Amino acid sequence: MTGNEAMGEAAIRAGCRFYAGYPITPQNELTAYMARRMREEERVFIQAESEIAAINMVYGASAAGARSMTSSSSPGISLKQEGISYMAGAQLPAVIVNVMRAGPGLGHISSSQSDYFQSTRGGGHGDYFTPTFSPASVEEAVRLVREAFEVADYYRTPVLILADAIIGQTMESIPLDVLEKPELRFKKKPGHKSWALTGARGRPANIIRSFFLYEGQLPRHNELLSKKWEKIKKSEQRSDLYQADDAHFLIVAYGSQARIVREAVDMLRNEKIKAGMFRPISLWPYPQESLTAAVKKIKKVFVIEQSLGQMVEDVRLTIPEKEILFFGKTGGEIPEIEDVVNFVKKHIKR
Amino acid sequence: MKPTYKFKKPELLHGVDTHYCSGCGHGILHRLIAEIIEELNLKEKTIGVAPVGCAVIAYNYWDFDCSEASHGRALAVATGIKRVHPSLTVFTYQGDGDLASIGLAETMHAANRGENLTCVFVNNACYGMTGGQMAPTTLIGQKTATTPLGRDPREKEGWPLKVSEILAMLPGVCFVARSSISNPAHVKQTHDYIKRAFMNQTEEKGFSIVEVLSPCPTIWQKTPEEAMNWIDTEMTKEFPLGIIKNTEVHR
Amino acid sequence: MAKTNPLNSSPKQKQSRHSVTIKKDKCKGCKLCVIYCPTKHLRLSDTLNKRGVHYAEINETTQCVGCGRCYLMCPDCCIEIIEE
Repeated sequence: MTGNEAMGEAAIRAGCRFYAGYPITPQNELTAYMARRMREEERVFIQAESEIAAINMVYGASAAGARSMTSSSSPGISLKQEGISYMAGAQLPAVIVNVMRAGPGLGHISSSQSDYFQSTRGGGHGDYFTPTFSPASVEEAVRLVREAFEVADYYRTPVLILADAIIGQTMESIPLDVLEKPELRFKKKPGHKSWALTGARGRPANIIRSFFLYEGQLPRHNELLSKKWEKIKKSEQRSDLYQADDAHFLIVAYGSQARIVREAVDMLRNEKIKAGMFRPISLWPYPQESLTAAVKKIKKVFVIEQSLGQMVEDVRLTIPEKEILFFGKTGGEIPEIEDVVNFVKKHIKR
Repeated sequence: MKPTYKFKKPELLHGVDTHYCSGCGHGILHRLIAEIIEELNLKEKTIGVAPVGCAVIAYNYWDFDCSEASHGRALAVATGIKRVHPSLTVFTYQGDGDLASIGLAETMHAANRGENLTCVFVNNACYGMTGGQMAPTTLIGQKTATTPLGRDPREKEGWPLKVSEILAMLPGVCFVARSSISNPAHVKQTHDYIKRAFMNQTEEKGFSIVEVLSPCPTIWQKTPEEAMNWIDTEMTKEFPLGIIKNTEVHR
Repeated sequence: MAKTNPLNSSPKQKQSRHSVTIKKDKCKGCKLCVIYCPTKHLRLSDTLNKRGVHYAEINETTQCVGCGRCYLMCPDCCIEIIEE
């Protein structure tokens, strides 16, 4: 299965009842997969008239209490941002998959990591964040989509899956039990969505809103949201380490770039250079605790991204006392393993 | 002894004061919708969607489930809700800027998909909430904040957009009507059209829309009485009243 | 029940079967009820309500015929009609 298809199947198995999407490369396989499979499962698939309509359909479906998903790629995600902001404000859960391509503008259809800021800093207007998970393999994409639905429902928030063209289009096998017997992050099943719009039968009318005009309402609402963000920051940090136990040099990379860095670490190790990798899985909340712990004995920290340097800012914020060196190539060009190896070697010789 | 009411505030309308200006048409329309939902016994089965505009907080006045929508997206939101709960009655309550300008794509496509929805389209020929700018439905010659000399097609400000007539061309649309609330007879007519539009949804006939010419005395700088007269003398010339389409949708 | 003003009532005039109730402080003084009342049974007050507007009030010199036009046109739903 390609990453795109696998994410679709994972969503269906996670109980996604509603999907709306709009064509954009490189995520089209996901929409096409959902068009076929959602019908088979007698769930709702809509090809929307635009990304804006798609996210607002998801807003409606989520307001109606259904697990809902949409997917797109960078320019399309830009169009969805208003809707995502409304969903964050109205506390509506949903999973939004961004199979990143290169920008700015129309950019390029090839892989990129240049939507990091957009994803981790809210992206739309207003004071909010969206939990953002970034898979480095098809198998992990499946796990994360499942988990994203749970996190979304548990906290009542939209959750982003930040994949890229490489993850979306790579074909990899998935262990069957990952699909069929997923480990659940939350032991308790999400309860009945008492806030959802289902018709006011035997209860007061429910209202889905993000507009708070009267004095004191909005600050109170934002305080409530702020507490939620703080709770997510504490509880939902995820990261992974590779060869980091005895490492002198740590390379930080996420998503598809972590696959390249992993190979680079192996090459460096072959040359007796004690390199290791730190791989953030949750980009917001950034895994600050584990990164801080991982760099205790580290001499130099390298950050590799397929962008002009976005995640590196979170690394600098987390471990400002360390020497941090950045290497990145922008979309349309994929860093080679040798590029990473050479960059590290050049800077440790000094 | 309990008094017998001949005309009584519908139960589904909260008794609270509205934020609308004196003589605003929203109040009459809110009441009509509450009455209709009561008459059809749909309180427990109705979900309203009100997008950005003066009526975005309509949920403060109605006693049934409601959602806000962002500007222009009410019919996309309603599509999402309706597809999840096909047995519920879902309606949108949209202004002209919302439905005919920023949300034109959502309007056209929800209608063209033949979504089984009810749309109440409130046409007051301007953007009321933001201070009276030109709307797609602004009349030729009408002065607004952004057409200070009056809307002039020669200045490429366009003509009044007749969305109802356009929607009537789509096969997914079963019912299109235009009415006004400029006098008691028209209010009754509007009631009947909107009720028909709700019943069409229950009968799964497809997309129904009722365009209502509604006064905005504040922006029009008229008294409520003058505003009602202006609907009759000026607006209906451009937007004639009556049923534009009434048919079964072939699926 | 609307009381008749003894100065204006003719002996032939029947008591109205309808009476109008107005929630005075909800009224925004748009006057639409006054304009559409066929019997001029409604008028705007000389005094102001809590909102600071001249509100609709009963003109007791005429009778309500229970047509409901005031109810239909009131944007603030502050008028109701009781049938005796």
